[in-house]
Amino acid sequence: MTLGRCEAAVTGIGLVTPGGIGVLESWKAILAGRPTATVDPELAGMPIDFTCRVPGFDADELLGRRTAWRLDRYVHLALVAAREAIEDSGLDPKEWDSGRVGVVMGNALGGVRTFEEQHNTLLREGAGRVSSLLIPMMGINMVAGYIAIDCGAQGPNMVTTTACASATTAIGTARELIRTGRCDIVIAGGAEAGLTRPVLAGFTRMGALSGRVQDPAAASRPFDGDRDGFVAAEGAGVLVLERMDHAQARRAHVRARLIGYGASADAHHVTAPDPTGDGVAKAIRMALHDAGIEPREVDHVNAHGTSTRLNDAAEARALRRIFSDGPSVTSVKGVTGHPLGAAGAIEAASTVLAIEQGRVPPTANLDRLDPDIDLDVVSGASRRQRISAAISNSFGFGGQNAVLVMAAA
Amino acid sequence: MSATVLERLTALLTGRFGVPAEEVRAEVTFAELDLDSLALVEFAMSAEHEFGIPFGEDDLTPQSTVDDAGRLIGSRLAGSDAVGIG
Repeated sequence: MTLGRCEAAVTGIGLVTPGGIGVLESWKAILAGRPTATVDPELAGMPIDFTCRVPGFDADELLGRRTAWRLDRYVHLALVAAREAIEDSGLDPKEWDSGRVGVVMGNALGGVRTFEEQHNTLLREGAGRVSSLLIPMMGINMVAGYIAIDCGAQGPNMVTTTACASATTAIGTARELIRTGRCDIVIAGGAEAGLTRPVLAGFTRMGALSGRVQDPAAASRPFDGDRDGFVAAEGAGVLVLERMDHAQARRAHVRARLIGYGASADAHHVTAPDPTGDGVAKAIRMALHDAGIEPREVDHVNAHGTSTRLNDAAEARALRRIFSDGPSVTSVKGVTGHPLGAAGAIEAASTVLAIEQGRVPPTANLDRLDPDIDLDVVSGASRRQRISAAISNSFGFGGQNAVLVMAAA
Repeated sequence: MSATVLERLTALLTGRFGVPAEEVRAEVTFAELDLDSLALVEFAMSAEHEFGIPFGEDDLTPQSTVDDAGRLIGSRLAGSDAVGIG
């Protein structure tokens, strides 16, 4: 097999997900296919009142109140994941060439919780009581800025925002920084924490969410015939990407290689995917071309698989068009729900773990595959499989598609 | 600065802003406690609420010390009719 150019090594991962805090806890839940959706007390009285939240996340305890009080929750989640990823990589920020360390994070909603709280303060008490930290807390760009401050990364620093594809776009963009030689190391991923009543009301009014209020744990069921929408989630995922020769020179443990990236736009509709899957297929083809591999060389697909009627059907159609050999397919969203701008990073990390361990997690709640979907979707229990190359898909409202190709170290 | 004002100032800096109590000493500046100009706006709002006195955003700078803040609060309390506070 020719796996193309191999320039970006994944040397560290960090996760904060509804499955738990840290890679170990998160992966345990994902591998077990344990759904995390549950009734959300913050949404009491709302027509759809369940979400997937990170359990037991205490920012004061994890980051120290001195740091935590100034930050929105989406940055809290990101900082914890970034610290874990950097620690995992074995890199010492005190020793790295800081100007050559970039940060590229994905995010969709910014500090929407802070914005809403301060808007309420404004209405109740007047402009003079609004926090001086409103803007730095709500800014969508701030997550990359705070990670840089936290670890001392002085290279290119940005946030990419392509709705639910944001983190995949971020990781693909980070790879470009490695590939062009601009950076030795890029901290890349995504974070989201927008589970507020207005946000959930908006998604509900769009008809995007599962309405399975009687049984939240069964609500996120990607590719299942009875799926009826996604479950909103929060979380963060971070990968440390490193130029391969840089990683090798310091004898780092390379967990996987990031060998391709593709992106496209449906140019079809603001929320509905192109039902033909044409835009998605374009992104996958571009990613494979970038990686220099053929479709038959892809063993596994970590699908976007949101559990909406439209996404899963269009994605399945695109996958069928490209992959005749039937790679295994899974969607971790049956476990995690849909953490929007963090999804791509959590799923890229899951893809790294699946490659490393030779184990594909099951798609939770997939009881009966949609008869219109002709894919080898893993369900029930995890499956042992040797994976040389895999893709991870993410698609955002706005028709923004992003695909990563990863390969075994 | 009265002991009570210092105690309440310390409690505010510790509880709201996460500054370890042992760092709160009369001569230490707000900058040294990681309270920059943005944070001081928040501090002023919190102090207004805590002490029941008007507290301007320009009353303190990051170079002001805890003692400066204590004196300011003490004098405002003395000049106010906020009986029983302090």
